[in-house]
Amino acid sequence: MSFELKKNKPISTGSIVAYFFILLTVLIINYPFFWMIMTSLKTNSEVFNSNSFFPQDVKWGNYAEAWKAANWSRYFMNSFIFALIPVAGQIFFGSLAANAFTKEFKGSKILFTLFLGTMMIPVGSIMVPNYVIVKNLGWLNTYNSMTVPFLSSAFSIFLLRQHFMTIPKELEDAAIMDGAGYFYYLFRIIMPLSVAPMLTVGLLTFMGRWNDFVWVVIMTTSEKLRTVQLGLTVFRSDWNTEWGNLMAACTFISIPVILLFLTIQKKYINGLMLGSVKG
Amino acid sequence: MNRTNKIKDKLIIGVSLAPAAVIALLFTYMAFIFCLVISFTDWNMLRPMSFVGFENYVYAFTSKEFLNTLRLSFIYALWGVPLCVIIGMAIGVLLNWITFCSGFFRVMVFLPVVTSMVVASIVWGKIFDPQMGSLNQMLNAIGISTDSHWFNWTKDSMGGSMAALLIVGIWKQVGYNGILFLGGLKNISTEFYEAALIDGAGSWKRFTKITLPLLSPTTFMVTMLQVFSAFKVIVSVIVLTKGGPADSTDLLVHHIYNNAFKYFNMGYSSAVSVILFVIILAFTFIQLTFEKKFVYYR
Repeated sequence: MSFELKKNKPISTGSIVAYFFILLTVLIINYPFFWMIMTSLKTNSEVFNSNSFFPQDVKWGNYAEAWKAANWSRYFMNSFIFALIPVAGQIFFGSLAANAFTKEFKGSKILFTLFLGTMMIPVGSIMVPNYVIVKNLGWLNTYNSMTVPFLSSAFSIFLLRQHFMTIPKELEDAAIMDGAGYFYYLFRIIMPLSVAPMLTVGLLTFMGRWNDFVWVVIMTTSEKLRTVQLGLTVFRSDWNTEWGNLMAACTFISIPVILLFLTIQKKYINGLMLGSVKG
Repeated sequence: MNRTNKIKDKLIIGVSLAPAAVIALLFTYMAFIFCLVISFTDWNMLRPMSFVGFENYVYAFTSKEFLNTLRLSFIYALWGVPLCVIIGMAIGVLLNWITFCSGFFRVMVFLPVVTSMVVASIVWGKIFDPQMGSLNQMLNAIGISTDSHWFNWTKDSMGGSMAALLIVGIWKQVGYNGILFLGGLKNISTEFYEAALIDGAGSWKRFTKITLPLLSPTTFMVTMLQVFSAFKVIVSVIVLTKGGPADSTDLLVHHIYNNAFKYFNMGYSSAVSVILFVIILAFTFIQLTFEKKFVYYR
């Protein structure tokens, strides 16, 4: 389990080769992003008449044009609502359930297995019945259908429980001796000690919701509930959307999720490397 | 005193689990049961449903369109899984090799994972554009002729459309796999390599005799993750190819989606959903058995 990097290694030909290849890989992988941003700064005539990668005369106006062409502020607000409410839900309800599952009680093992079992059922195979359920709840075209089903997930519960289990039991005994109740202990002691896994849960939920497309398409038809992802596909199929405008829209709707990722990337990537966040 | 405490404990557990349990029950387990039930009916949202037994399943396995969908999904997996694993491993090895700025490179390979599939598909869709897109221009620039109809990509090329979906899917996944492999590589103790160096093993020998066997748990896990995600592909299909041309990219989940929400064949698409579930279940069993038997643990 050594996680130490081999430091103070002299620069060898081997490492120069490694840097050459990793740079090449990073350039290839990020090429679509470079291309997206470069095209977002080009005029339409340049897109069609020039082979240059860089824009000849930079047209920042694409961003303003794209922003004005659709009701983006509404779509952004919707996307934030549909992402942030589940983030809060997964952290709150996830912590509640995770803490219950750190205790032994009658049927706790079976219940926990049943929760984990939900991860075995592929989302694609239950989208039809979920449409029926949401429809029968009268939730089509409502904020409920976009938030309530995502207020908790087995994965978050699992992840939080993994961390809660590492908190020594003595801490709870001591807290209870001092008169702390079950929920006081959970909210004031356990949760503040679990910021890292809660951030991971938050990031994964935000990413999943912000980037989600299929659920929104199925559950909503109303323009009022359109998210940025759906807005983007509609914006694309509006006839004659200029490439520059389209790429500008692609860029600005990706910014929130990328900013969030950059803020917590270190914790998240380290968690992923330790194998604690696979999924 | 003890008794009331016990009741209180039960109440606390109940209150804690209730919200999560309701959501899991309603939107996963009940949904799945509904799916099973609907799959035995001819429901199409217009007329009241009636039970038709196994008709939908029989139809699925005798109709060309479903067998085509199944074949395409397996083709997608057969190409996508190995490529995602191999490229992911290569990225992991590179990330493990470098020391300076390693955090920066980890983030840079990870960006596609964070980006939405809608954005990815739209941007790649423009890159694939046969006339204006930069991919064909680049291929031409390095001397590859793009006259073959393959290079029409998502515009009326069947093989090209599948290749386009694979490229987007692989592009989106490899960074994630790279980080998982990096974690696996960091777990291999340097002692093995030092011993091999003393024995005079070359770098290729060290890779094949030490790295690959000791990395096999990670390789296995990543492979299974890729298999599962290969059978979940839908967004890139909707945005990039719409299943076409001529149903040549109509992968399983897209087939379910199209039949349910475009043609309203709820019964049939529920049957396909159940088949998809069985496929995933079969792979899960493979995963659980092979995990114990064949993976080389230290």
